[in-house]
Parts: sequence; structure tokens; C-alpha cells
Amino acid sequence: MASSQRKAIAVAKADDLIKELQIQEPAEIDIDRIAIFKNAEVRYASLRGMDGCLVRKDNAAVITVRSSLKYEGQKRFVIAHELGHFFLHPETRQMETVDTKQANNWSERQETEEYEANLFAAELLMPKRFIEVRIAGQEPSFELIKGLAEEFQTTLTATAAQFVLTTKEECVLISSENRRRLWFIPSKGFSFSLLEDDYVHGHSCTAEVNEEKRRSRSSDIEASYWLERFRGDHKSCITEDAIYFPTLRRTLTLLWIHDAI
Amino acid sequence: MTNDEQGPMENLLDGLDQQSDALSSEDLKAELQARGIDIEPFLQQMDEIITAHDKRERLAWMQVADEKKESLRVAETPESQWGDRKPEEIFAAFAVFLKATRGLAFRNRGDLSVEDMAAILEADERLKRGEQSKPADES
Repeated sequence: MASSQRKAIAVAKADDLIKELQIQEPAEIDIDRIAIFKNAEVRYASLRGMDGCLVRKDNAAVITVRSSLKYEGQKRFVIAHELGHFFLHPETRQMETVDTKQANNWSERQETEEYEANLFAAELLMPKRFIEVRIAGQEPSFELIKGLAEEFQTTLTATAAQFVLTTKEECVLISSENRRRLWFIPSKGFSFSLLEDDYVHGHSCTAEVNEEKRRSRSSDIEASYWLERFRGDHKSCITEDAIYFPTLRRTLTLLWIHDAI
Repeated sequence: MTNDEQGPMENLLDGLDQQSDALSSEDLKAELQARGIDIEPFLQQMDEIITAHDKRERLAWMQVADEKKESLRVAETPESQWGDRKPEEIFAAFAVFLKATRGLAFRNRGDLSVEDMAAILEADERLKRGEQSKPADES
């Protein structure tokens, strides 16, 4: 089956579940109850080498979540992610396939069960139907994404990913570490290519954020800092919003083509 | 009962009954208000009751989930099956488990610790116990 088809199925399965449970608002996405209703018991344990796992037997499963996870959004995402495996990958054996390099990876280019489980989790916790009405006519920004994360009780990264997968604006979400791009997700209508070189430009907002300055946003970022085909063009500008995560030592960047370039 | 024996409410209801086709709901409300009866709070209360009832019906699965959770809690054995075992025992059991399992997935996995393996074995144990406690017609 083609990868795009598998991804579409992952999203559709989550959407079917929301419809089956007649969920109409974010507060009703009670992930613990959804899991147990679907025969997946949720337990918390002092895990060390993973954030969570799913052990399955026929139509029942036990999801174990690392009890030391700090944020409710993280716990919710782990449960939803494992439910994704429960619904999508009945015979999975991830001992051999998943390693730390794939962890936290939201790259759309990834063709793994992990990415599908992420898509399922994002759709289950933040249904596109609910997100669309909240972002219509709003300027893409981490302010907007933070508001959504609070309302849906989700992590900022997952919310930003779902935002980009939902928005009609030309956006791209980029994760980087030590000024090296790790992964990116373009929005559906994004018609540009990121620079082949994955090194982050020194004059970008992304290069500016760190432990002390955690947020930077500007609407006057030269497109050539990030995009192909703009070399030497100092007039074409885009909006860049960057946020630094001290615990992960990673930066999340949202690029928005706010005007025709 | 004759008309003379009717109370004011009965008279009012009779009157409304006769006039209701000719009056819109707004007219009816105004008519009642003119007679000192404000039905707005009553209508609002009814609306809230109906909305709450609809929501309960719609989210009935949550109650099922709570019942399932409670039955798991009651069936739970107080002591951990794997947490207190020796590491060698856990390693050996985990190796056996890995050979047999067809449903194991992770979130952000690094190197698994003995505690992680024990948690996985514990989960497997719970599933086996659940399987055994199912009524025959369910399995």
C-alpha cells in the first residue's frame, strides 16, 4: 500500500473513532476513557527507556505510560499514539524497528508505523474539524498554537504539527537542534522548497533563540535564509516564528508565506 | 368541574389553548408576561435539562468505560508480578516474551531498563489474566 494511502487511513481511523464516540468538543476527548472503552487499559509505571508502550493480545491491550512525564499533554499523546498502534498495526513488533533516531520525529517523509501512530494521535486529540473553525482567518503563530494546545491539552509540538497539517496558509514547521534542521512538515499548499543545506541561517529567528531568549518572531525574514530560488534576493520576505525548548534543546520554527513572493 | 370552579391557572391554560393557533410563541410569552407570568426561566431550565440529557446519552460510552475501569481495579492483584523479581529472571522471561509476542509498540524508546522489561511483562501478565477471567462465551 502506498505511504500516502496509509497516512490517510491513519487519520480516517481517528476521525471514525471521534464520530463513533459522538465527541463534539475538545473537553470530551477523554483519552483514558477512550482507551479503556476500546479495551486498552492504561497504567502508569516508572519507565526509564521509553515514554510508553503497548502490549497487545487479540482485541485487548495494556498501555503503560512513564509516570514521570511532566506534562498532561505528553501523557495524553503517549496514550493516543499507542492507541494508534492498537488500531493500525495489529501485529507490530517494534523491538527491531524503532530506535531513538525515530523518536519525536514528525517528518512527513518518514514511512514508518511511528509516523502513522503520530498522525492518528494528532487527529484523535485535535480533530481537524475542530481545529479548522478555531484557526479560520487567524494569523499563523505560536501564540495561536499555544492557545490550541491549552484548549486541547496537547503538547506544543504535536499541536504545531496538527496546525500545519490543517491550515490553508502556506506554512512549514521545522524542528532543529544546534542550528541543524532535524525534520520539517510543510502545509498542504506550501509551494516552496527548503534549502538543501540543512544548516540554519545565522540571521534567522531560529538562530537567535536560546536558553535566555526563548522566542523570536519577525515578518521581515529574507526568504533566501530558508527557501530555494531566492539567492541574492533581499526583497522577498517571509514571517518566521521560533520557539526554544530548553529541556529538549531544540527549536521549533514556523515559517509563513504571508505575502506573495 | 365547571368553569366557575377552575383556578386562574386552569383558566389561563384554557385561554391559551383556544388562542395558541393564532399566537406566535413570542406573542404567547408577551401575553403571559402581561399577566405576571415570566416563563423564560422555566424554558431555560427545560432547555438545560434536555441538553444535559442529550449529552449524557451521547457520551454514554464514558460510563461504560468507568465500569470497565472499576472492574479492572477490583480484579487487580495488590502485588506486582514482576517488579520485585531478580534481573536475571526478568531478562529470561522478557526474551521468551519477545519470541512469542505479536503486538508490542513503543513511544520514544531508547535502551530498555530492567524496570521497563518488568512493566512490559506485567502488562502481558494482566492481559493473560484478563483472558482467563473472561466468560467462556466471550472468549
